[in-house]
Amino acid sequence: MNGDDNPFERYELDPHEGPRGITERMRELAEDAADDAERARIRAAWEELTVHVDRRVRAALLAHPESRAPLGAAPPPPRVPGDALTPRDLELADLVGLPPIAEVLGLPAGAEDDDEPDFLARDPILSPPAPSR
Amino acid sequence: MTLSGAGEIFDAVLFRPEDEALLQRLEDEEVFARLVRRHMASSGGRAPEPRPRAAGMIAAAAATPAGKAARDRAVAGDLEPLAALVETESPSNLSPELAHHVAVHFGRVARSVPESAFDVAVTAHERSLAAWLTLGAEARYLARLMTEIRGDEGGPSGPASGAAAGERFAVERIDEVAWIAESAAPTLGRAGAAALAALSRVPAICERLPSERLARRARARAESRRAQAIDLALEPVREAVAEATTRDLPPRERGERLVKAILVWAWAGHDALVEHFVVEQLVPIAWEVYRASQWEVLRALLAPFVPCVDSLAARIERDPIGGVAYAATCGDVLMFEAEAETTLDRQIAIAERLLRVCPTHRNGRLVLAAYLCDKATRIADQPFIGDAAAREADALVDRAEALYPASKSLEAARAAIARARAMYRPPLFWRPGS
Repeated sequence: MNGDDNPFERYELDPHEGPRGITERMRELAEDAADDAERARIRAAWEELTVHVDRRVRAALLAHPESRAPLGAAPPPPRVPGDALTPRDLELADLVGLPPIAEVLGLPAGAEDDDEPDFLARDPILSPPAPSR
Repeated sequence: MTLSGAGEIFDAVLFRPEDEALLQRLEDEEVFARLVRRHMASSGGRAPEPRPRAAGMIAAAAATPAGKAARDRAVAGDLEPLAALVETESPSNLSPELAHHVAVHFGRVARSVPESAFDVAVTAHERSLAAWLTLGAEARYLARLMTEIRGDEGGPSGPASGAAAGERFAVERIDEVAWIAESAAPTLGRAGAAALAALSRVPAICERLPSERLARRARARAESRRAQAIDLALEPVREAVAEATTRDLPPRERGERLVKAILVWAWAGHDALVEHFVVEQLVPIAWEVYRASQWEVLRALLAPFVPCVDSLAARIERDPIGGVAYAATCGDVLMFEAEAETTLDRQIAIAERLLRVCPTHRNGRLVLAAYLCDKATRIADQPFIGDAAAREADALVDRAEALYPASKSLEAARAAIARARAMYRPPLFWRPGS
């Protein structure tokens, strides 16, 4: 097999998923294939990867390993604007205690603790289900 | 606007971690595409379209502080630090995951460049093999991957067999490069020449490997596969010469068939194996011409092989013990070269070299003794020779006698010197006691 057109990379397959996972993924690909030629290519790749474990191991090792951060999650390490290597230095402003929000909003002290936020209470999703009859 | 510029704006406004992950992928793909173009640039070839997963090499590089700094500079436009990181001569300094990326990436670069880009291909093969062998020496990474991929389908169990499987996989990458050389051997394609050159660099790669066992295996495999590829390239020449011999064709035609070995010699990077083949095949042909005293034919026969024989002679002079097996055969060809020369000084120079290559070469000592006697005779036959010249002639004959006491030329040379002494008596030309 030509490692330059590696099926694990071409079809974005995870070699850790094993024959079952690979088969499921390739079935999906075959269903979505535009034509019979593409389906035949997918089938050939599926056979190559599932018939013999040694071939699958070889193809997997000759593919680039998956080193990209998964989509939908934070990439490690967190991106720091500016200097990428060191966390942002603390500044004097970071050490100053912030005033209470109620004071900033001109409310009486402790108002934000006493008053239950109405929008949460009215939210139907957060409300307990009504007892069934 | 650049991708990094876009990233800064979003950082300042609203940027979720998943957006960050997507942006990093896009940046890595863009940086990787530039890196591929850089590695392909001097080849004049067109970079293959990289798969998105290949750009994980940039993410793997950024896993260390230095790599992250290099990646950020690459995103900002300066590719040099990142390129220096992945182009390292010592992949053992890289994480196994990054070394894996490097091995795969440079292997593909080597196979993608056009045949004319010899140096690019050799370097890429070398970097790929270095990374694979480093992974093989490290062993745990490949063993773990193999175990994970095999799952419950069996295979190597335990750290020892896993490590052995990893080593084996790394050494098999040498076979892949050798296969390129063997495929190109019949046509002497340049891709095969690059693969052969890369295989010849495996010993240097092995010197940097921490595992002596793997280094030994890799060296032996590279050497045997190189020899196999070169043998394949020489096979048509061997058959052509053998056929000419069977048909009893004249030596000149057999020599013409052997000249194709010089093309193989160039293809194989002036390899010693081809030089051995050339002298072995050349000697019987040259003997035939030599015995017939066809000096013109002998000169024409030997001329195309002179650089090849020179190279072998220099190799043996540098390493007499290593070259002892071919010293006598190389000496034979040097003797033919000396005999085919037209000036005495050149004949003596070649014969002297012959004896440096093979000090016990009987015919070499014989012909050099004859040349020295000839030179002494010529000196003695000159009119009005001085004392210094007479001493030089004596010394030449003495050396000739030491080289080959039974030489028939000694008597004539001594007689010539005696005639000169009788003709030009002292005190005018000889000093007393000279």
